[in-house]
Amino acid sequence: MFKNISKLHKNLILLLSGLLGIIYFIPLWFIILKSPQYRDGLSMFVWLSKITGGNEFDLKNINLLNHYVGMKEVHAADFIEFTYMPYILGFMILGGIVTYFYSKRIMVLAGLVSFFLVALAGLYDLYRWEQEYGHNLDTSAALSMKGLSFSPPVLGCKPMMNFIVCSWPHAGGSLLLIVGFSLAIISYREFFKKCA
Amino acid sequence: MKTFKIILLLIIGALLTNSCTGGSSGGDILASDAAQKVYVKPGEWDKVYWFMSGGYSGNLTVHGIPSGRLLKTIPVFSVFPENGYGFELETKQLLNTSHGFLPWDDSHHPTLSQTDGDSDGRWLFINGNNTPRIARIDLSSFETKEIIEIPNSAGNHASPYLTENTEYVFAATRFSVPVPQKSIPISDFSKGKFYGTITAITVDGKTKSESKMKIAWQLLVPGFNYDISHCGKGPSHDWCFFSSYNTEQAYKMLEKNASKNDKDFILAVNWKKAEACVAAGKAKPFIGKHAHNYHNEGTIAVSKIKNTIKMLRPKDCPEVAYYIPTPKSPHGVDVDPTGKYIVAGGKLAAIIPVHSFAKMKVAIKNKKFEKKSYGSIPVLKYNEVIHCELAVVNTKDTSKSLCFGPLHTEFDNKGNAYTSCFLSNNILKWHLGETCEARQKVPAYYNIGHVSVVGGANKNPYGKYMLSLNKVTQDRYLPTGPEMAHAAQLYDISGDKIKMILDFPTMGEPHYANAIAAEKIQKKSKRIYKLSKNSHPYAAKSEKEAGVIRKGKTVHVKLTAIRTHFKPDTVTVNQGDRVIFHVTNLEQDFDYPHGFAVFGTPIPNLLVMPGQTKSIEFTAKKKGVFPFYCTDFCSALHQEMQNYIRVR
Repeated sequence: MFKNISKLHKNLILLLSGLLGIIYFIPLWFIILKSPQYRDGLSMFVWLSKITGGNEFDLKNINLLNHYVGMKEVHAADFIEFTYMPYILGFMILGGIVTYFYSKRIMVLAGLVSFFLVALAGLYDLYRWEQEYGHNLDTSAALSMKGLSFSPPVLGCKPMMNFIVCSWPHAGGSLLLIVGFSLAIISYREFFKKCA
Repeated sequence: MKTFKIILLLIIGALLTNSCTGGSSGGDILASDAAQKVYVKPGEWDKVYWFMSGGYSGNLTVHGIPSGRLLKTIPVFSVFPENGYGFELETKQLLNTSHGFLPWDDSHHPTLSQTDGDSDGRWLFINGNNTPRIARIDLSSFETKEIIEIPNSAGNHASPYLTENTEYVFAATRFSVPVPQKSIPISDFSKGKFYGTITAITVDGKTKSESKMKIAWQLLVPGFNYDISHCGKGPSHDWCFFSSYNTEQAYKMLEKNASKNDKDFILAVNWKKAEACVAAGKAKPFIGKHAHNYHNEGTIAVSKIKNTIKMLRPKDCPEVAYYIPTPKSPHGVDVDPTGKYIVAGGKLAAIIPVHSFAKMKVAIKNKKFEKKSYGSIPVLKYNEVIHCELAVVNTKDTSKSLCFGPLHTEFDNKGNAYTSCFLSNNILKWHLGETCEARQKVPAYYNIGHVSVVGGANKNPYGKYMLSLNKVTQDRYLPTGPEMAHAAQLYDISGDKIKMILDFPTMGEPHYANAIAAEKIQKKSKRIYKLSKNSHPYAAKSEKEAGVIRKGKTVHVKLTAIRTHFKPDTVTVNQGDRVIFHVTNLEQDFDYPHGFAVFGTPIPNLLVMPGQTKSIEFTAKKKGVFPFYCTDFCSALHQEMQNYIRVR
């Protein structure tokens, strides 16, 4: 457990920490709504600390369409997550740096576990918000029908009225996946393979 | 009985001949794969924008080619109740002149702005013929942004003509008049007391304001009727050529009296020389009251009246202008893509004359002038300047004639010229090089005026499509009562033989049409106006800013529109109030305009684009409760976009 990890892994972990730093500057996830009159789609990007539209006006236009079915407007200020998510990422980057100096197997394992806990929590949070926006509709809205709900998928595509709504990891999410996967490989090699 | 049989045979014979040749469908001129050549699949785009003047409609229409589909009508010199242009406070001032507000004009010759001799897709200029004006349309919004009036002119037919880098936009007067205006006997025209002017307008491409055009100078020339003109290119870059008719200076029964001279003139103006003379202070301040109007988006149009211009007289600027004799009552003059040849279209002539720019320079140098000059402008000797004459009328067998009534010539990228022939209903393709040779004669239905080739007046013609703009339609389309739409025919000129591929009706009377490859415009076409850049004094940029402001008996209603409601919901005013609705469209999505109309008021529709504010004014005359509503079907709940104004 407290055995030192290989020099290669130690360096790799420092590199992964650096990669995580990039996530401050790129979107994590995106949701895109496509329909015949929106060939290029209306899109929404989820960042570590904000939500933006595919262009200057996409978010406004998504909210405008959503108002017909009584969905609450999406505004970055409504998400408390944006206030602490940058710190969680900071904590993980810090963990990586600490591991470089205190390079024990236990640190790798702790990193891997916390990484997957954070990822699961993040996905669950996305799901929870999607449910909240898609189901908690204003019943006095113009287009209100019993049984209709508008929650986008967490991953993949789903037809919704005249739109097809897709949700996919953006560059940040993909980077997280790569980092998590690399960490899993490092752990596997440390615990189950004899390294030089 | 025998006579009857013969007559019957003749009739049958005539019917058969008619059906065998395909009647007026064009016979073998029609491309066998015409349908394929003009078919643009649903959802796909045309290759070319073709801008057509609306003539007496005062508008401009935009067609997609090769399909011929009408894409848009752009109001220019005429009020347009469809979208509020010229009625609404934002654009009303664009139609102001030194004669007051004029809600109409006769628009003739759309011309695209140029860079290095080719259309650059920034702007389009078009003339108002009746009360001389030139308008500039911005091609990122397809809206009229600026109109400048031309003083000391009447009948602004010979305009607008551009130099290769849009250094100047030129205009010449068709109807010579007393300059400055005064009441003198009309018969004084024949005594040389009427004048023509050549007007040079600069266009400032650097300023962000839409106030770009300015009258730089005018050149006072003898009182002939100046007509369609073109500026030089390449070697003839410094020159512009203005055709003229009625050098007889007749003032009545012109159709006879102005057709007497065997030759009229092309006025060749060295604009670089003129520019130098103006810079040297040779041009004098001169009466020239004119309006200059422009509209910066997001604000209200401004109209300024200016009282003077700089007038240059040929006697104060030697070598500025020369007359080139040309047969006979030319409708216009064109310059080939190389800039070496100047082609005139003498509508009563038996030849198409090609004048040589190089020879003109030599003749000027060697002073090969006729004895008589006009207003200090020397007349060059015809024979010294002519390059070739293409004989188009066969006097022995007129049926073998190539062209009766040549009017206008455009060019392709292979050294060919295409001349419209009004009387003989055809276009003549001919080759222009060391010699001029006729190549092919193709029909146009009927009485073709202008011919237009994509880039056909430029340095580098695009060389694929040609359009005939015809004056008489008659049986070309299903009858629609006495008034028929003007017909246009599209030809494919990319092959050795011209092929007709389409025939379609147009709006108003397109005189000239100017075309450009779609790729030069389509990408920069605006989708919305940014609300954040709207600086209209009465814009309500959010529903919080919507409301009613009363100033005495004037009520400003700042109304917002967004799918699918107006704010404020209800409006109350007093009888006799002057009510001004300022409608701001809060949308920021492509193609979501909102309309606005009020019951029982003498106002047009307002069509407000996303991010725009438009204002309309009326007096609340009757007491009662009156609806207003959105006129542009904007969403599934469009019908619900309605409110009331109460007049108490």
